[in-house]
Amino acid sequence: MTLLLIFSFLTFTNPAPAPTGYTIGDVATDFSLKSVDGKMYSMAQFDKAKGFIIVFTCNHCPFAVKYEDRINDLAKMYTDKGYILLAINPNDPEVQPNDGYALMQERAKEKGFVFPYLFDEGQKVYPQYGATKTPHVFLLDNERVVRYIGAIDNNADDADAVTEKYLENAISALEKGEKPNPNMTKAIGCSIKVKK
Amino acid sequence: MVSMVRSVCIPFMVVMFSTSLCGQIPAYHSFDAFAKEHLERSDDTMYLFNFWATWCKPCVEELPHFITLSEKVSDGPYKIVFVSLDSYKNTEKLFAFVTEKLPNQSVVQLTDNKYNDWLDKVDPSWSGSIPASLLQKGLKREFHEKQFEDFEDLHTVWLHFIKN
Repeated sequence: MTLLLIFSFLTFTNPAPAPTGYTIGDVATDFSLKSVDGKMYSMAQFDKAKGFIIVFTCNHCPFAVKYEDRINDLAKMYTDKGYILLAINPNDPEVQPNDGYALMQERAKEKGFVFPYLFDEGQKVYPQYGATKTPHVFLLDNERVVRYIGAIDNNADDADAVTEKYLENAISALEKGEKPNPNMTKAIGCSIKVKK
Repeated sequence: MVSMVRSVCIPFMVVMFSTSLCGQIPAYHSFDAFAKEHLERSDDTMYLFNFWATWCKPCVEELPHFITLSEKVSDGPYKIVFVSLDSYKNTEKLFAFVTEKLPNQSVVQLTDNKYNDWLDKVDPSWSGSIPASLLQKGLKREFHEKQFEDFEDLHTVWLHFIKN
């Protein structure tokens, strides 16, 4: 990781950071992160899970906020089907105070989140996944293999105008033993907040 | 008092430098329409497209560096275009912001929210976070998915692109 960072500083022709994080087929790392309920959560706790929906999201980002209800609905829809949704706030509250732990607890309570809303203490998990913005979704199967990365659907502004439910379609594919297609999609989001 | 026409009147400058409009912020509902008018260029002008939004804090923080750049640039024809990704629902807020903070700049609003269809067309490496900037001169392009930390950071990238 450090080598990649050094290398990217040396490549003057295209200073864009070298892509890091997972791609389709990689095995994703587990973690142990604190949720708004005060408890620690890991994927290992859910040994009967058919898959995991890891959503990097936060309080402050307007795009993440647009998806809050949808994320909650997805958790309600899929937990019984064996897909565990875990939301992770990757931001540094010192850079973005609205993403602090206490405010996460407030938001979870206010919106009735039914899923663990985890704080990426030390910001160590999101770089391993390669999350670059909020919201950013990684769908894993029961062996934690990454099967879909990207957007939840194709209309952030208007849930009623969605024509492609990318994440739901990806889960349906997994249920049928098929490969999600598309397996990667792109959308606009807020950059992840780290100290400079 | 009758409110003046909701328009941003910017003086029309020499064609060598950034031309602007006296009127509302041009809005593109389709990326292809925006690309046809702005990205498909073969002239010798140096373009910098900054993708931003009023709701994006790091975007707003770096805007002054581009304004400083527009004041300092002296070599060759250039144009800095601020491409707002504010939603069509946010047009009023965008207009108020631009009137106050970017009064003499070229600003357009791109409201095509089918991002998965067009982000790659700006640059395949773009993961979708903003701010992001595209430098373009003729067929040469360079994309930066990042916030410029200060004017020097931006200026260095600009100069390097021009000289290579």
